[in-house]
Amino acid sequence: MVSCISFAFAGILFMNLSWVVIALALACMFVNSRVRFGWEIGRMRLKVTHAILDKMVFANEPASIRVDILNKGSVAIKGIFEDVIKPEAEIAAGDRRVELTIPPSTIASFNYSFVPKQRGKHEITGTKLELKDKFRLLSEDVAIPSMLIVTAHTRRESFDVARKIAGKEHFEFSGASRAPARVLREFEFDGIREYVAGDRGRDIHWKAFSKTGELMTKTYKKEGALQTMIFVDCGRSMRLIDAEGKPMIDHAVDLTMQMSKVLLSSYHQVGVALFDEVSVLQECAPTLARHHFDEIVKVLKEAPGSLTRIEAASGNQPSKLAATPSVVPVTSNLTKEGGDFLSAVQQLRADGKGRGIGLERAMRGIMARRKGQELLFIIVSDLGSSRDAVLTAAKLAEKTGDQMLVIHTYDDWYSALRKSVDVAETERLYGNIAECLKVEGRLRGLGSSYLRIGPADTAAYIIRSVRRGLA
Amino acid sequence: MTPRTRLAVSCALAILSAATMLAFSKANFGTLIGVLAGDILVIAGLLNKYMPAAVSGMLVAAASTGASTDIYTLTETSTLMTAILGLFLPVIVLAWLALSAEDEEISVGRRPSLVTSAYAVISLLSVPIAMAVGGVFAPAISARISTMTEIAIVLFVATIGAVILTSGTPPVPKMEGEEEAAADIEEGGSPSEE
Repeated sequence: MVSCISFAFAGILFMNLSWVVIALALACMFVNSRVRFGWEIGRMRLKVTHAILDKMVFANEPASIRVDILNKGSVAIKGIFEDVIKPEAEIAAGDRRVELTIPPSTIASFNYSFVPKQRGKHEITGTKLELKDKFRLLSEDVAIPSMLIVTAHTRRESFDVARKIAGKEHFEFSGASRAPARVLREFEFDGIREYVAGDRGRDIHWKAFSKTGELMTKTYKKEGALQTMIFVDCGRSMRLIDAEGKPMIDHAVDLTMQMSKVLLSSYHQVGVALFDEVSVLQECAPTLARHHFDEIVKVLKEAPGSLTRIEAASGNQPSKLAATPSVVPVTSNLTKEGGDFLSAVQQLRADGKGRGIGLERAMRGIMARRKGQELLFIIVSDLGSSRDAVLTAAKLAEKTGDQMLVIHTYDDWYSALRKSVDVAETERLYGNIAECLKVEGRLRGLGSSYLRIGPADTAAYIIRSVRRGLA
Repeated sequence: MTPRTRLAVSCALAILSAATMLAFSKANFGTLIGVLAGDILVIAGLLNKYMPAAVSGMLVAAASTGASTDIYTLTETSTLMTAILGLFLPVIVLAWLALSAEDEEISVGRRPSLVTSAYAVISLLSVPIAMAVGGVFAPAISARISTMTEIAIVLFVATIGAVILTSGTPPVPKMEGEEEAAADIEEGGSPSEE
């Protein structure tokens, strides 16, 4: 284009039409390029599909993605295709930006893998196509929508830990204690099922093997065994973390998975439910069915990811456990939406209408199906936005004679350590622990067990504490 | 057409264009050197699939020819033929070859080519058309148009045409839903895997 204008100026300067004719020839090339580019884009028909190649995606481990691009148009497409993922996701292998030439009616593919930095859902919103015309004079970016949600599970090590402690730890009381909380008694024959690798040799039904030639395993239920339901609080306060803090929701998911494994390995029926301020998000009922642990893992996989919060420019962060807490103490990356949501929940709570909307309903559902069996409810919560719901649940458990264990993920222990602790900060921490003790007292008054944990506390520690009656 | 044949045809076209340019211009030593150097650069760019060299060569050849060709009017057949055959078409061919130097194949869309041809014809014949229109409305006046006026008319028409043809935004490409595409694949046979 610059050359074209230069030749035109030369024509005017030298008063010679030959320069103008050359300028006209170059202008023709530009016009042809532009018209052809628009013509090709108008005939472009693309379809992009994404697929996850891994069966399960773990946080901090590469997840492989395959991108198929089908050119259904009548013209070949040459351009740079780039998958649109979150900037914080790290590319582990391959390249999400590739230059491809796709003839008509042809599929082209490329693979890459990225590392999800945290548990939760990671969106791939589509693919960006950078097109250039034949003469490389013009360029155009085209967005091709193709949504893929990659749900990353917690770290792989958590599964290894669950497997290890399942063989070692058990909830049953085995020693002298003032409060043998979860005493489980004799085994009782329940039925037989197909042999699964890992079953104990003494449980194999050898008589059936001699007759049928197939390995069958005898299953037992424990007389008076507790049906256990673990509730994981997925409320907004559980999900909010400081920039350098540790996510409570991820810890809660890890603990729930590991405790479920321990309970299942001891032949206890166990179920899991995720709840937030208003509803039950996912649920699987207590059972001892085959592959039930996989079901639990599936449920836990759906737990929403954490949200990073940014401290407000001025003002101190009020206590979460304050009697009338300011539920929007910070500005998060969902400031407006999140603020409105929490205000609505706060309003519901103030009216007394919102008590235990999700949790209570789920508990009543389990109680209705109990068939006379005693129930144990384990609630993993920070007692922030769901505090009243947990207290209501404790009352319900007391009323029905069921047992409840509240595992309190104490927010201040998960928060990032501040370099200088001034008077105001000390008062805030003191106020928080005082409120926490009040809630603990109320829960214990309702007959529930209570355990306050931090990010360093493991499932094994919790199980030992329960077994020894320390909860 | 195999890549080697395509390359041979491209080089032949570049040499032919240079020869045509020299034939229609006042071929002095400077012009000869300029056109030959430009043509060699274009051919080198084609052989090495390096567009900047080919484009530079095209510009050198075009500038050399432009400097040695005198066209003071487009209203006479001889000068019009010189402009079209000796300058316009060779420059178009050289520019096309140079800009496609890195492409594997040269493809021509029918509609864009028609639009460009119409634009070129109207722009080149804008001066005779303007004179004819003037003659229709004022037949008694003797038309005496200076070179500068002709330049102004050609540039005006070329600019207006280029603005009209390139001002619109490119159309939005069609992105299909998964169901439609799957159905089409089933109907039309399986697409090949690259």
